[in-house]
Amino acid sequence: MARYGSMIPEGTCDQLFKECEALRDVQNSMTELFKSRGFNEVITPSLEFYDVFNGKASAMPQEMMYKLIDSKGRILVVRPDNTMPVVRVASTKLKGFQPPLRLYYNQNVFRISPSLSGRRDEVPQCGIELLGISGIKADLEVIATAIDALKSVTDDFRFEIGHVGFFKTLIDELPCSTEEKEQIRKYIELKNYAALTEILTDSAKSSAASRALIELPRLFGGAEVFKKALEIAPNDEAVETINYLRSIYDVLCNMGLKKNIMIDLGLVQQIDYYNGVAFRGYMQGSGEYVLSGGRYDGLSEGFGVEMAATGFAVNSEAVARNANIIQKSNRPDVLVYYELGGAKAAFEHMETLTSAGHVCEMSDFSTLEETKEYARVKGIGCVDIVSDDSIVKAIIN
Amino acid sequence: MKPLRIALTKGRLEKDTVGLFEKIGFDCSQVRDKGRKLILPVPDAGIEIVLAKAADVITYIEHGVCDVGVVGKDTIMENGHSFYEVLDLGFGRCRFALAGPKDKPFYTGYTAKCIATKYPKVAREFFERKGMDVEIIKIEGSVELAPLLGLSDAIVDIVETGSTLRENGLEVIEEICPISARMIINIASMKLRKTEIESLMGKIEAAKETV
Repeated sequence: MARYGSMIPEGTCDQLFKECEALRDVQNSMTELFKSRGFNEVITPSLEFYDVFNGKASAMPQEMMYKLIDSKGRILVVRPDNTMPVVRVASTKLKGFQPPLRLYYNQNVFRISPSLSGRRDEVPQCGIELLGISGIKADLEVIATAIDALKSVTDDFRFEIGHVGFFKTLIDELPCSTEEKEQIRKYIELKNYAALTEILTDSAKSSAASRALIELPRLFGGAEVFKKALEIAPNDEAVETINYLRSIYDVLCNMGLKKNIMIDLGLVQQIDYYNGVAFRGYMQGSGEYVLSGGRYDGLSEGFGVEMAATGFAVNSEAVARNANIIQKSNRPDVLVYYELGGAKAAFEHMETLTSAGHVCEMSDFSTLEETKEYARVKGIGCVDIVSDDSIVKAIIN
Repeated sequence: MKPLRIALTKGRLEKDTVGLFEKIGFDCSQVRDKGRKLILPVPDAGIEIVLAKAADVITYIEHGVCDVGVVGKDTIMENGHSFYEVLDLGFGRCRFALAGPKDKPFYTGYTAKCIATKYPKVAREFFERKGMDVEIIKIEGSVELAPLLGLSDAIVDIVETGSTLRENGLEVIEEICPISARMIINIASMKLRKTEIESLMGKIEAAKETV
């Protein structure tokens, strides 16, 4: 065999047995939830044109995408993200449909991770997109569905909600260059308090907005965040944003979710992508977020339409790894053995057993001795020896 | 409740951090007298300490197997950034600099320059900002040797006092940025264990003030 013939590429993995079952369980409970709320599945191609992921709002670092060249010399990528393809479908093929569109997906994304970092390059994702409608009710539906998706597989999770609007109204008031603004955003994202304070206490920039920005990374936690945020909010727009978040928070608390949710106004990742609420879900045991989403009304612009959009994606594999899913054993209860003449009776017997809820394996060995030995090794309790006129049970273990 | 797991960079940063923890009142006797153990409990403080090489501290934090880490800004700049960098601890101060043979102008001529460094990412980003094409060679040990042997035109390295440079006929051509020890935090830990981490940060900040 050639050198790499028996290996798999870095960042990929074979999943076996219980791992598959745990993953499928998570995927099933999430997609069942989505379907029960009126979301419809879309499956998009694994290959897309590079241009789909190269728009202003959707730009993904090209270092992260697996690329191929098609027969006409055009650049293709192996699907690096699910939201853009779904928005593409919605803004082209579903253009005339009555909004809002409720779509869900359950398919893998492929991203190049830094070498030897221990990260997966192929990630199973499931998630929803609610398209063609804006406003607090749409935001609430998506957030509540995201929380319920996590709740369907674990009790031990934390859900944080932010709003990029608060940061945007503050940063717009600062008289500084785009590069400086990006630097400030980065410091807030990384909660780098020292560097943020230094860059913003520069007297030329000192204003209510800059003082508020310094506080931003510390503004995460429970309801107390709103009080602090309103104290430092320098303009009406900022106040409005906080009140909006507050209404969402109050509804969720009312639904009994207070211990699971927190507010983080320092959630300023990908501000060109999100334009409203943004949220993330964490689970005990996973060092990274397992769910992320928010509002991204600008994504459809690249396809020449205006369409409000909000949604989220769950890393179903990370959830499956950390959720304590109780799995039923798939070990067969019965091994069915037959002489060739009794095949019809044997298959009928198997049908009877499986429809009664047993897990049943056919013995493909030519002798009864081999069959019994196999049952012993595999821990199968019973061999049924079937012929046209009789069924003899042999108890093994 | 399982303890907060703190990864310290072995060596000088470890000593300085342990000093800081003792000022807070943590009992670090097991860290000072560690033998061959790799995970060291700090009784009654709700924390345990792990000792690791600098780049590994970042790996452990990014994966969330440790919650809090102490690591130099140099390692952070070279190894990427998906964690919170919450505190400048103030110790381990030095700087990144571009250095080359004394009295030999660096920014002249049109031939592409060759740079030897232990920090290829820092070097590449520095010259990218200048819009300069350079060839970068990764060196593992004493980088100062490379220009002396004629392998490179200059080096990008950490400079503390500059005495190693001087003794080898090199000098700083340009400073790149200052460096010091940072406290970093796993993103999920910050959200899942907010109170414990904020309390630890508060204690460290208070102890830092009294240095």
